[in-house]
Amino acid sequence: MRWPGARSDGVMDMSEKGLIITAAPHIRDRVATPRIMNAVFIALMPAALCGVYFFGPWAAINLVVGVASAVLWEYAIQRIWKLDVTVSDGSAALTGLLVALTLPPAVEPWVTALACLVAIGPGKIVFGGLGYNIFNPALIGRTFAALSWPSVIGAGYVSPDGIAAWKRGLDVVASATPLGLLKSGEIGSTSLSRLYGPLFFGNVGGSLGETSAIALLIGALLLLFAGVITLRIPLVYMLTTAVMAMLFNQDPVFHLLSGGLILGAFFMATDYVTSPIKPVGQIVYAVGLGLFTFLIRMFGSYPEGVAFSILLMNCFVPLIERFGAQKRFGEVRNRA
Amino acid sequence: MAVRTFVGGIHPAQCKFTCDAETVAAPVPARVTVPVGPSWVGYKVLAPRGTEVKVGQKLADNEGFMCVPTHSPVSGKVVDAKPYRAHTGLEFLGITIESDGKQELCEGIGPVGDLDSISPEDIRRIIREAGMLGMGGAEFPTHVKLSLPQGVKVDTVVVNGGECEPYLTSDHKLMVEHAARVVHGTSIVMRSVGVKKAVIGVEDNKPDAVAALTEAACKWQGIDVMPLKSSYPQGYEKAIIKATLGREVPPGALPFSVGVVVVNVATAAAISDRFETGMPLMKRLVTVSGSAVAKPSTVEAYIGTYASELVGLCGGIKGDLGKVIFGGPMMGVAAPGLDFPITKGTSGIVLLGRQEALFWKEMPCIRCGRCNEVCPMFLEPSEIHKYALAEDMAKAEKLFAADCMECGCCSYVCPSKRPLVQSIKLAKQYALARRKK
Repeated sequence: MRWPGARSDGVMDMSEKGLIITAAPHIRDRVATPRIMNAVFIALMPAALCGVYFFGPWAAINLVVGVASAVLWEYAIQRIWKLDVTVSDGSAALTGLLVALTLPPAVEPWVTALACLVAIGPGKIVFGGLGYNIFNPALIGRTFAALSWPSVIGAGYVSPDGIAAWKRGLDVVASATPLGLLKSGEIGSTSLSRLYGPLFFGNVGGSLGETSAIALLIGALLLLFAGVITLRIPLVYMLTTAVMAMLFNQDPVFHLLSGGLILGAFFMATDYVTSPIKPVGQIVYAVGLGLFTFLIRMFGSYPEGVAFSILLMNCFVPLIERFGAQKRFGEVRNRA
Repeated sequence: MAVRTFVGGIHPAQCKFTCDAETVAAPVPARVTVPVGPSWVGYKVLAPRGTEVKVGQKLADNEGFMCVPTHSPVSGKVVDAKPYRAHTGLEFLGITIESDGKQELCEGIGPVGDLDSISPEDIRRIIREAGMLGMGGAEFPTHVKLSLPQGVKVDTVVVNGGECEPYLTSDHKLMVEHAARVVHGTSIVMRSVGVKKAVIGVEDNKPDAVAALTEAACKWQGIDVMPLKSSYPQGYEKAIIKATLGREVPPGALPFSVGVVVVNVATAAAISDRFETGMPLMKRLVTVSGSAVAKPSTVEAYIGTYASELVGLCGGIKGDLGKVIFGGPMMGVAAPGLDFPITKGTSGIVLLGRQEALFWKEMPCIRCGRCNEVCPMFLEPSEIHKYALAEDMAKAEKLFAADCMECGCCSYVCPSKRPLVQSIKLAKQYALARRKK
């Protein structure tokens, strides 16, 4: 476009050269949404590798099926509905990874693939895609699978045998999870300290990605240092759970380390899209998470409550966001 | 004591390529187009087409309170006095002069004598007559800033040496090379508003400026130099008051409501010139930088010089030019070319290469909250943006869109590259227009 302008002696006449004209600012930060998604994906790798090591080949198969199917589903749905294909933003791959990590390691892969379909389709795209979903998509997929095929899911929990699991190949040895044993009363609430070590390092039954606390914490540290997440939600979430455990005379350390609490607190409760933006709201949200997680574990019919409590608190986010108005710069509050 | 700053803000890559280079004095341009303004409505042209003018001669004036006169930076002949399209796309009245190269001085230009014998009103009048506008970019008339409403008392003058925009070093070079002028101008401002204390706030990424000013200020009573922790938008009036004095100017209020008057370092130096030499505002330092400039430098240029000449002075264009920015890259205006004259508020001309200037792909908001964290006005940019896009300007106003000072931090940090500040500016315009009704 040629603008009418005062012309000088014509030292340089640039107006024909297609200069780019946009509103300020003309520079942008390097942090971009796909990079954030990729950072979370990478931060989950230690936990995924631990799962593969302890649970054997099925874990590896399920991880690949999870990530690949989620990306494929997103591509297929967006093509069929003639939407913009957004698989390159990295969020579908991350959702697929999280679905696989929250499902049992040796679950039959078709369950993982269908869970990913529900996560990506009804969990995300029907709401309008990335940024518009109310619930954490991965947990929608996971919960869908857990409620639809409970026996298939139950059979997917296998013994964390490491090298031995790899030697067995595709044969599996079923195993119960610590929270399952606690629920059925097979382990008492007094002698749980012997489980601290296995829970911390990962040689314990459970979902693919929740097995090793240390691997998850390494990933969480990565995200903290990269500035992707803050400690506010995970810390308050875990503290609330621990306090609740103490109030009910349970072992707080056991409750912190077992189940998907660390995975949920650092990688799913912190999901930007489905958690409050304001600091006050984040604290309310995290306290709610802690309360519900513990109440479900204690009094619900399921042994584990992280997934349910996150989905439950996701519903409350719009409500929570209405409270805690930010103070404006220069605003005098005490005028009342 | 920890180095102070304000709350929020960002730390973009500095790109201050020109802070070590010598300042270049531009030759007298063959032709200048001096913009009349800030807004040219009601201006009377004193030098119509064909008039022979001398350096410092008044070209146009307007008796309105918010108006200052325009002076000729060169001697020569007025060849045109008509509206022109400025770099912003808006029309301005411009007076085009062809220089005769003699630089003959207009009669009656001379230093102001003993400052103590002049009343504060006269100081303000002299400042107005010299055409002083805020040289940080806002171009707000300086004498208006210094005219306090009846009964208002201020206790401190804050001199703004923030220069937080990347690339720009014009204020930095000024503080290093002309520290004495900055300090002298500060003392004049202090006298005009009747205060005994002044703070010159300088970001700590300019240690040489801090040193030069500290040395110059020790000869004066009550002028302190305060290093501030570098952060953008430190140079914003309310931010630098918060940083230097810890005071927060209430929403919608002016600095005098917390007892402060703020002037830019370049404005202070220009005021000093007027009192020392009699010269009105007709020259300023302009940083010409960016990856598409062959030899980035800071140039002492005549107001009204075409940007193309300044770029030519800096070795011309290098590589594939993608964007021309008048001002800094955070708040500056992208211009459709280089054939525009610089104004009193042009602190820099930044030329970006095509790769740097390409658009960023806009993605959906993922509610990460980074914009909330950096907003120096403590607004919720993502929310205002949402309502502004939905054209629900009433909701946007309820979220204090009118408090926005347009620094662009929100757009800068947005990982989804959304045009946050652009939409908030729109909501702000709606809010201000509604209030005027």
